[in-house]
Amino acid sequence: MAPRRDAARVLLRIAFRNLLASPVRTGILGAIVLVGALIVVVGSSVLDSIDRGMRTSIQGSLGGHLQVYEARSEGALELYGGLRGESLLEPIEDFSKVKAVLEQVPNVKQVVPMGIDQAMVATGNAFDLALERLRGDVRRLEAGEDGPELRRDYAAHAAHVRRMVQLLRDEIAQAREISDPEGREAAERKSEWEALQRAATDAFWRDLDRDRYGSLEFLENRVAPLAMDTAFTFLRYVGTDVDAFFRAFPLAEVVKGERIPTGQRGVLVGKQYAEEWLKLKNARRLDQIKDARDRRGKRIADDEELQRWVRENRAGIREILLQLDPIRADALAQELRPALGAPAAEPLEALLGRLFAATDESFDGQYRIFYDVVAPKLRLYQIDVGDTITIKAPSKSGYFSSVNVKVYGFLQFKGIERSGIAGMMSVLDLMSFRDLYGYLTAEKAAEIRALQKSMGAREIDRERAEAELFGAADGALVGEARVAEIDEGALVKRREEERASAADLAAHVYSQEELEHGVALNAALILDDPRLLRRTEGDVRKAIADAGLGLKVVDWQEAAGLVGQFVTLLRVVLFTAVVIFFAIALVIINNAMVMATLQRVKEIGTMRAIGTQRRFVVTMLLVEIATVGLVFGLAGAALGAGVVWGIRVAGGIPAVTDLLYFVFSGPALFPRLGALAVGGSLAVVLLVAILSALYPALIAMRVTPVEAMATED
Amino acid sequence: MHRALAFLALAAALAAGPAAALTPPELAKVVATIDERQRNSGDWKALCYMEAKEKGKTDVVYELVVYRRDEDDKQMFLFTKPRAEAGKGYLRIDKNLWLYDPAVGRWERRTERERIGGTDTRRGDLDESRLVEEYDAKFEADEKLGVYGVHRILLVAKPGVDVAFPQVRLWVDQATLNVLKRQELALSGRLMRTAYYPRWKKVFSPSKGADVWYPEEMRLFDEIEKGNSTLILIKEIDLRPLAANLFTKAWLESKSR
Amino acid sequence: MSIVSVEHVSKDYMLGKTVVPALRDVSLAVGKGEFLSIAGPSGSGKTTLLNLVGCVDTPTAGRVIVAGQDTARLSERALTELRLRTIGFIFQSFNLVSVLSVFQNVEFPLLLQGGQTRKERAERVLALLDAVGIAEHARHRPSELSGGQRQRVAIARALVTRPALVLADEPTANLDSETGGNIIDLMKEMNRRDGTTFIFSTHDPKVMAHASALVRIEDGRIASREDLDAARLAGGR
Ligand SMILES: Nc1ncnc2c1ncn2[C@@H]1O[C@H](COP(=O)(O)OP(=O)(O)OP(=O)(O)O)[C@@H](O)[C@H]1O
Ligand SMILES: [Mg+2]
Repeated sequence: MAPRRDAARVLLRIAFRNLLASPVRTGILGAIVLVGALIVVVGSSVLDSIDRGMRTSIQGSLGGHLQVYEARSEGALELYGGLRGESLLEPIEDFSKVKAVLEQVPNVKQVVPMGIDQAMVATGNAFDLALERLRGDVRRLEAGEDGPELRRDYAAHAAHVRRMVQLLRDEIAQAREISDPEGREAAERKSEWEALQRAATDAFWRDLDRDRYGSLEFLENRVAPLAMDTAFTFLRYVGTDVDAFFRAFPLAEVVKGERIPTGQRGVLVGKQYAEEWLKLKNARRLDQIKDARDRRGKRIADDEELQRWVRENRAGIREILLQLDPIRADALAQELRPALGAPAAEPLEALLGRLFAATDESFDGQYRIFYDVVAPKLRLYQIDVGDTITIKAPSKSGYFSSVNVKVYGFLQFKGIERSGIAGMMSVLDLMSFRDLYGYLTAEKAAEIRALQKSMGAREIDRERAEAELFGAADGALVGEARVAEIDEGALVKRREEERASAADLAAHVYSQEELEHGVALNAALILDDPRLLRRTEGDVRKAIADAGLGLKVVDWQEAAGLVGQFVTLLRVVLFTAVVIFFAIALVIINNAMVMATLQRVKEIGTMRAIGTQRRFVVTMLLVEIATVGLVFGLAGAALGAGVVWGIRVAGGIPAVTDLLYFVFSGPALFPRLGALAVGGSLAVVLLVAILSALYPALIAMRVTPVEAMATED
Repeated sequence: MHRALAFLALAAALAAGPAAALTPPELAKVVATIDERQRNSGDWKALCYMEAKEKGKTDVVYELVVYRRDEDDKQMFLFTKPRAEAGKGYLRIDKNLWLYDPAVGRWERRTERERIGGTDTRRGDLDESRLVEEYDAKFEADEKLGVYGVHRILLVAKPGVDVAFPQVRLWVDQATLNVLKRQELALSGRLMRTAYYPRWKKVFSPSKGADVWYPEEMRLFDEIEKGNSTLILIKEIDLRPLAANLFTKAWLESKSR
Repeated sequence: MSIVSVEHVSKDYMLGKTVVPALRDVSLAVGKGEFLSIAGPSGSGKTTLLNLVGCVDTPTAGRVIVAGQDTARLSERALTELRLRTIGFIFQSFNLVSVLSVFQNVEFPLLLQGGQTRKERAERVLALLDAVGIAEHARHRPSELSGGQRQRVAIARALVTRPALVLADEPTANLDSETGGNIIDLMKEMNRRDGTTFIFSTHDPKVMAHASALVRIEDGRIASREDLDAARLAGGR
């Protein structure tokens, strides 16, 4: 043992001294190793933290731990939507069967039914909405109802419409001055203008009560189309057993309003979705400016985007004016004048112009005035808590289906409130989801077949259509018909029990049985101990196979689809970068070591001549490079740890996009240093260093003692 | 004498053979005749069947009543079958197309280009024929469609007129002047839809004092989404005057209440 | 009894496709305690012969027996071991390990051999450094020494393991003649003190004059072998 130790000592000594003898070379190699270790440590720490963030986001918002869906489905389950929209899933026809089986699997705590889809929500343009309110009053009046309150509503609604007509006329009057169409178009514009003029006259409104429906139709069909606003929006929702959902996903919380009562129909609208798509544009822009100023340190004076928002807000005043009936408009003007220090006679439009003309100095004050004075008089969200909205979707049977649901509240997920991925999601009760989904029941299919048969509809092949239809002069081309008497009243009559009104449906409380016996598209499984995910996944598979349920099982990450692959993608990117980096490092280190070896051929030959074994020479070289690897690798890892710490101290990596917000599971990512990251980085740099020294070691080994004899010139 | 002249005219036409193009006045007459034969000066009510086939999906079928009052440019569809669809309807007043769903009791503004009930049918397919008003005609050729001799005519939308298809090509039966085939093209000339009208029926209209023609069967083939097709059958026609307030929201609401 | 016995050794080098015969059927026996000089014109095969004797090269034909062992039968490892324990080398260009101090250079073979305490090693090294007259430079790096001083270190290193045989290929070629003379004197002294066998090559007649025996090589063959000590003794009397 002793001779070994002596040899080892001198070996180390020579190796170290060689390193010190050529500081430039050692420095370069060291720098490479250091940067490599740094990249690995920082990269993998950040990635691990992202992984953790994703886990929190996905598991806490929709994913749970495992997901099951019908195995025959055409597409894969993508909880957050894929490139081509929603997942193409076959329905689970009876969720209760799935639940009964899967609840028995050990470690499965909860099975939550889900169905994710998108549908259209008609919001109506502002004009249509105002008219719809007026029509509601008219309907009641015409049905013989009356009373001071109804009269007051009716008057206020009519005044509002009238005001909108005036605003619209002012606007179109301006447009008329600019454009001057010809011919047919001119005639059309002229008739539009006449309609608008008529709707603005005192006489029209005086005579409103004479022909209420007629006047409404005139306003609806001749005037309202001129307003040209968007009239619908898309809502992404998960239909679910709402109580079970909140138990399963502790991050979910209602921020405004209340939960959908047990067993009732309703919707909880995604808060972030409401902010981005449903909020009054001006209010939204104010929020954005505030956020940019407070959180990102931007200033209106030197940021183009903020300036654009300020400009757009001035242009968006019309939207606010359209919302206000004359009484509220007056009240608002009166409150705004002192708040803004404006002259007594200044009209509302000018006041609002003043309010939205923000500078860095005035912004905070104006923001407060908007929310304190203006906002309470406005409808801030197109769809708000307490509203009943109509959701319309193309159902699986091919027909459109619509449901009315009450908006019970706004929903958000704690920690990822602002994420556009989780925050866009609304929660819908399962019954309404099923109505929209419109699963083609056997009964419905039979009805359709019967109708087809009764009509004698004949299918013909597209390619042979002309030959079949016109191939023979059989006299079918023309014929004579007799007039009939069509009684639509008899045709439309529906069975009494099917005539459940919207109000009945809203009030109906469904039993847990009803909820669970029916269609779902997928189900989230919540586990008691998430660490046993893999084992439970196997158990669930087995249970499904045993029960013949024909379901596919995926883990939360796979279920998250594209979003879930984000971390994998990042990993691939980091891995590729590291591989490329180390490949280059390998070449550089190898070259440097080859050169160093060649320079030392004589010395090595001498050592060999005076009795050094080959093994010693090789080891000496490896020790040399391993020392570089270890010392600089440690330094790099330490530096990496420092960087990670620095990032945390500096407030984390900000989530600048929605996707990042979601994957970070919050507004910023706080990377955490992992022991694995440090150990891994050291292992990697050592491995690379030693690999790159193998070839030079081979050269050194081949040096013969004869080289020592060579005389130098 | 008259007979002889008519015979001579016919002989001349036959002698000229298929190469004989329609002169501009003749062409204008053909197009005007197409409109005129389908025109009905009074109200119009038809019981229809509509069936849409889409690749990989179940058929969507409806029974519906179509109402027209051409002088006011008003139109209404009331769905009667299947049961779940009964009471839904469309109401068109000028350029406004409204959709009503009794299940939610709300009216929704739709665009004029709406695919009715999710089928390939446009509201224009069940409307009055206004070719003269909307298009300029150009004679293309005389040819055969199956066993029938037809005029092939290209229609191009008049400037400033808002129509669903800027170009339309018609195959008109030379013998009866019924449209047998219709191609609808985009501005680019791309073929969008092909329609066939293999059976025409006439019915005497008291208000017009003459026959009104209508296609009993329409087959619409989507040329963009190949494999999608829609069949419309007009089963019954009722030409009695309609209630004055029929083309209103209130009327349609009352039908499903 | 000879410590080195070269028997009918030939060595051919390949230079491209031509065969360069460096040694042709050389036989030579070197006795213990000899201070043998090999002389001959450039290219005559002196280095080749020393390399074969020093076990750093193998003959094309014939046998080289060092300290009773047939070198052809030894493995690479055994040969290395033989060099470490039995042979000391002094090189024309000193060949010290540049990153080690004088002391450490000399200590190096001892460390490779192992088996000695630190103290034993230090005593041995210092004794030798003292003997070659360079003890005061023990802590210096080779680069801080003159050529002659370096060669002294090399001699100390060659002798530190008490080898039976020391080989030196033109040890004075890189030194001026006075220093060279000193080095030869030192080698001679070591030879006398421990009885270590020295075989060295040289072009320098003055150096040859110190040898106990002189082997002349010409064109790869041994041209003559003179026993100078005997002659000197004879001449001296
Ligand atoms: N590695 C080699 N490859 C080819 N030929 C060689 C090699 N080494 C030596 N020779 C040739 O062998 C012959 C003997 O060379 P050697 O080096 O032994 O001569 P030398 O007597 O030491 O010469 P010098 O006095 O110049 O050192 C010469 O002709 C030389 O060119
Ligand atoms: Mg030589």
